[in-house]
This record gives sequence, structure tokens and C-alpha cells, in this order.
Amino acid sequence: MARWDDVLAVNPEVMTHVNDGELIVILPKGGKYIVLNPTGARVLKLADGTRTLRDVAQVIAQESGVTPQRAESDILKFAQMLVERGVLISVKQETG
Amino acid sequence: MPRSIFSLRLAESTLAISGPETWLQPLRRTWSPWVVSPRINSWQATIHADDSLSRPAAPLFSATIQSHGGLCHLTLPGFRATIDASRHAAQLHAHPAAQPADIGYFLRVTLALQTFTQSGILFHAAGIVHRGQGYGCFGNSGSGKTTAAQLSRPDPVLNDDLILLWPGADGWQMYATPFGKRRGKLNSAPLRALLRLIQDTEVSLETLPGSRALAELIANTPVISGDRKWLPQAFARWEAILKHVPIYGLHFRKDPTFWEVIDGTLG
Repeated sequence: MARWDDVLAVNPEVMTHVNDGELIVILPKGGKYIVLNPTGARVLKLADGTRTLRDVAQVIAQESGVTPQRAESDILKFAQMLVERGVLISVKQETG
Repeated sequence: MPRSIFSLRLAESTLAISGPETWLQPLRRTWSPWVVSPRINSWQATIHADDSLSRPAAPLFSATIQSHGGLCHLTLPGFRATIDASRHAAQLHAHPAAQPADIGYFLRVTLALQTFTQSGILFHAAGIVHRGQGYGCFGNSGSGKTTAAQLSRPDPVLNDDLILLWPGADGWQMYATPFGKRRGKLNSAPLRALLRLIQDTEVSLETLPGSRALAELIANTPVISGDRKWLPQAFARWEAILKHVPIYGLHFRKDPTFWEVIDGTLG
């Protein structure tokens, strides 16, 4: 379960390829894949092992002009899906 | 243990194979349409019986394939396999209780790497030849490759599971491989279209969006899709193919009417 204080990073076993602004993500096992739109690709780029999920949501809200509440709701669900599929892994949880 | 040597040729790739006769003779018989006399500039696959290994508990097909930087390892108790693309060489040590099918799987992985480095691409698809044109019908396990091949009688089937795509002077060609069921004796056909199989109650062709199409094709490119070294080239190769060959999602039901829709669209 992804939490706001999680610091997430891309699983090093994941491989990616950019095509027409979309990001093709080859999942670590089973020959499966997902295709991310530019916002999804940006979330993946921001999940660099230094930012909490809340930090990621704030950046996306600023960049896309949506309310922080809307961005947070969408990104928590999206991050959860990426964690379940093994694309993102939790590096640590901020406790401060 | 007496040893056997023969060469296998798929499109313009030749693999020289040597190993214990008990394992290679059955393969040589089954694969006779692809067996050729030894050639220079071929890759070498060497197989050894090794009783210092533990007895296999599962077929090599279930091995984990780890491929990094062109060096591929198959890991499973009873086997030790390495395929080194830079040396054009593959080595398999197998416990004497291993079966010819295990050796066949090792050679299949070797050929996936070999043909890719020589400008081809091994593709997890049924290759059906309809009106002289090749159709690569692909999808995950259970998507209906074998069913589509069976429903296409009497059209020739180059292979119902794995075909080789190879660039020719007149465009991409689809070649038969020994790694599945074949119908007829045809060895190749011009590649007319790639069809992602989707079992349905109605028959239709749908356009596949670019990224999804590429991802589906990569997901059905065995061995290569797991190595960062090859992945950018694999995407580039599929992009090159898609410049000349259309790709569709084919919704089909269990009757041959899908060919009417394909003929109506692709002629």
C-alpha cells in the first residue's frame, strides 16, 4: 500500500522506452508492459528515490495546474498501481 | 557417449551444434528440413553431458533466463547454460537425465539471440500463409495462436508458436522454425500484416495505438526483451518493421470468418 510519506524509486529491473511522448514500461517479470501518458511518465521520473509521494504530487499539481487535492487523489491511486505491478519500490518512509 | 554434429539454418543464420548423439539424433530427425551441411561463419552451440550436476527436477523450459550485456545464462538445477553473443558461442552442460526437449529449448534461446544479432527477430507468433501472404498472429499464451492456425486450414502454417522475421530485398519475410507445429512444407512468405489476437464473439480488425503496438511486439520477442543491451535495438527493429507492415488487433471467434474480414481490409 503506497503512503504519502513513502519515498519511491523505479525498480532497477524495469526497462523503458519513449514513443511519441508516451512511456512504454516493460515490467520485471512475465513479459508484461504498461504504457504511460506524459503525466504518468513524469511521475515515474519524479520518483527518483529522494522525494516522498506527497512531494511528487505537489510538483505534478504545480506543473499541470490542477488542485493539490485532485493531484493527490489521482497520484496516490496511480502510485499504488505502479507499486503493485513492481514498477515502483519503496526506498524508505519519511518519519519527520 | 558418442557425439553428433550438425548445422541448423533459419533464413540466413546458421548454428553449428555438437553434443551427445542420444540428445541430438532425435532433434536432427525432427528438424531435418532445417539441417544443412556445416558452414563457416556460423555460431557454435556445444552441449556436454555432466553427471556432476544434480538430476533435473524440471524441464529447462522453466529456467530463469538472465541476459545482461549480451551474455545470457539459463539457471536451473541439472543445467548450466551460457550464451555469449560476443563470441558467437553457446555452451550447455546438462545432467545425463536431461531430455532432447531440454536441448531443443536451449538451442531455441540461442537462436533467439543469434538471429537478433544478425538482423532478424524471433517472434512469438503463429505464422499463417493466406493467399501467398504471411500473417504473424500473436498474443500471450492462451490468446489463440494455435486455434487461429487450426481454423485457417488448408492454409500453410510456417509455425504455430514461433516464427522468424528476416529482412529481404523485397521487404520483411516470415520464416518457418522448428519450434512448434508446422502445416505444409513452405519455408517462408512475405510478411503482410501483424495481428494481435483477441478472442471475442464478433469478428473485427482494430487499429492498435503506436505505443501499445510496440509494447505488445516487444512482449512477444523472447529473450531479447529481457536484456537492456538489446532492448533499444529491438524497439528500433520493430519500428522499422511497422513502417512497412501494418499491425491490427484481430477480434475473432472460433470459426474461419476472420479471414473474410482480413481479406476485405487488406486485400
